[in-house]
Amino acid sequence: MAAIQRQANPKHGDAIATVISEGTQVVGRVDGREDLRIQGYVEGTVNLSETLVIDNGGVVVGGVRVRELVVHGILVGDAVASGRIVLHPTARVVGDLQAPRIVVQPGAALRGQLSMGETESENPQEASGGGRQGMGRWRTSSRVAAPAVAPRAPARPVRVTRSAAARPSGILARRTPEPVAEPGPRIPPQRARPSVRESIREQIRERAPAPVEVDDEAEALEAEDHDLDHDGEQEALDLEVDDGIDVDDGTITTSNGKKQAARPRVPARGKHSVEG
Amino acid sequence: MVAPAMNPSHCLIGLRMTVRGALVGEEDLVVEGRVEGNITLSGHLLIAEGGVVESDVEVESADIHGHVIGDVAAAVAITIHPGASVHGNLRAPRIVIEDGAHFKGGVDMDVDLPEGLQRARGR
Amino acid sequence: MANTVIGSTIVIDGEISGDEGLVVHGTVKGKIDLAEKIEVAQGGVVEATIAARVVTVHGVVAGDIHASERADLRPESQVIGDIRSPRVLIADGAIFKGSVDMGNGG
Repeated sequence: MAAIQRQANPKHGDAIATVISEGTQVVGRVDGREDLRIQGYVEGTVNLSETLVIDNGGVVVGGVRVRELVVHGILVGDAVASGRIVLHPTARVVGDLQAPRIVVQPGAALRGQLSMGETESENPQEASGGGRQGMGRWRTSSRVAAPAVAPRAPARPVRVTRSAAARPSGILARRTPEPVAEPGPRIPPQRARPSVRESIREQIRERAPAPVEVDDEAEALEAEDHDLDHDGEQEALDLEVDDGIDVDDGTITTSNGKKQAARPRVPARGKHSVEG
Repeated sequence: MVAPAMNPSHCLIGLRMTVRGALVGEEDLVVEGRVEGNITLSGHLLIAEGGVVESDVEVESADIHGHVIGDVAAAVAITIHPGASVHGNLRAPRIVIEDGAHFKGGVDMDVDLPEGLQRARGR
Repeated sequence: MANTVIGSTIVIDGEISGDEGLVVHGTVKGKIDLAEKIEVAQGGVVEATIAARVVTVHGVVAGDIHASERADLRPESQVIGDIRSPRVLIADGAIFKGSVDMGNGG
């Protein structure tokens, strides 16, 4: 479990206590209520009520929903921040960004739609940090909110690889070819869409019938309903997540080390299909 | 070539001036007033605070302090300064959005992703 | 003085309006409507109807000129079009083709 270090030692200077370090891969969902620093590779979604820092060398493939996002590394996926998004000179980002304040520093590379200045009050569900609004591959957590859905598949082994050498092949191997037709170069992105939020909803709807997981279909369909009443669910979940970070591919927890029932690994997990 | 001293005949659309129509040129341009028409320059475009451009812009480089509604494409760089407001799509090898700027639209830079991540998002 | 300058390589196809001075070194096609002075500098080309308070031409104008105060065609200037203004000055060496109406100042 050294993969995810809790650097309680304050001499590390900054407030970032949890680090997914270099050479570490996490596939799945990362939820938390404290700051997180990613120096390794995370494929899936990250939901934090605090600040996410993607360091230079760190890679996140998937949706990010945080209070504040600081990128020095690579993000491939959409990001929503209730506070601020800052892309530093070494940042490489492909995805749509939404936050009241967005800063793109000289040298940062970005391709995607930006939406600034939309206050959280317009989207009340987002206000609670780490709100479990669907981003990317996020699904309602049936473990808490919908225990009645189909039983889970057997637990899977730990999904943390420490071999840096395995990383590239891992990325490639896990990825099933995109069935979606490439829309061709978007120069510049032209689609005028009403809001990121709506498109997320669309994505959820579109994805609902996708043959992803046995029990996913029900969940995905449910996800829409749960959109609207997150609060209760969030509360329930908070009770379980008694420590800061919970990596939910079923296997990694920092708090108690308990292996949670895992959902089967999805080849397409974390993948963002192309809209349109 | 971004040097503002490139051309001594400093081109300026003044504060209380409106240009409607296409504007084409090979030198630097400062807009303090209002331009409603496409701007095509092989020079630097400075939209000063209070300046308004409601049209597509194609320039070598652009510094925006004012208000733009339209797409901006630059061969070198686009900088959106604090206080500026831009609605439209940006395309340039280098784009800077400073804190305090307001922007809504698409951004298209060359993103040099490592192999393996490039196909992660089919864009 | 002149707050707006159209540089020598600039081509504007459309309409310029405002209430401050304008100097044209480049090319303007269409229409110019100003409450102030316009100066078409040497090398400047205006293929447009001009309405301004004072019109001073060193360059080329193809179009009608309506100056509410004064129209001033300097040496080297070439103007093709009708001029309507209470005061019209055509310098020695200026080329002008068109009619002049100094009527009531319009």
